[in-house]
Amino acid sequence: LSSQLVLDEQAARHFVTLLGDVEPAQRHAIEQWISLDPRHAVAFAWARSAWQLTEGLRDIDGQKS
Amino acid sequence: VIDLDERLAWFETDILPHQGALRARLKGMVSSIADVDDVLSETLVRAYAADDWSAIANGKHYMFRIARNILIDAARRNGIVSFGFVADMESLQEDRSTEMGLSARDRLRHAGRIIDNLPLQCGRVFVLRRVHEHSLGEIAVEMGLSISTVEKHLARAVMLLAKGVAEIEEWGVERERRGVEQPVGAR
Repeated sequence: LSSQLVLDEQAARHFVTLLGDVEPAQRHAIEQWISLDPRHAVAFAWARSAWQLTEGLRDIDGQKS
Repeated sequence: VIDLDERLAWFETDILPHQGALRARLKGMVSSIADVDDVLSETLVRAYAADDWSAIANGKHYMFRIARNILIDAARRNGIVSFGFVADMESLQEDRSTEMGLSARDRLRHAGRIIDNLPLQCGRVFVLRRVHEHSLGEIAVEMGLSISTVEKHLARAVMLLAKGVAEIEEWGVERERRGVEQPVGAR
């Protein structure tokens, strides 16, 4: 696996973790990870942007049903 | 934490949407796709790390300027500064194009196609969480998986979606410029 792929996977895992109920300590640890290196932040931003992009899927699904 | 949230929000709003335009421009200037990826990645990292990010009025111009500086540094290191290269760098610096690639509606439609083509369990987990708003625990029960496995599938779906979106943005910019066929990955 390339280091970029590993980083992207890690960022996506962190993003998914933050979608759920997260203990403050865990949230803090993820924020520390993002802040540690701009490469982490960029990978995290990609994951979050992709998620936000699909916000409208719910509306489309509602229109279909 | 406030700075982190604000910086991420700025980056996602003012920088990332222009990466497709930059990638499309770089393709005509940089010799191999691997180099394009390297320059683009380094550009995004430097943009995110900017000390004065909150004072940057035009994210696209800022990002293009960073890319230009990276290319100039690389050319100097390799001793390959030609007249053509200088002209390319000037055009990159002066890029005033306003293309934004795809509309929000097009992006969503393409994102839907990417999701349709995700590995089966990844796609199912993603739709249950994102569209039907089931919790990870509910999805785990429904699919007979552990929550940890559900998280892995969802993370993989998010990662694959992000990669697909990046490619589609680039295609959108090129389509706007020249009118090209839809990329295979977006079908």
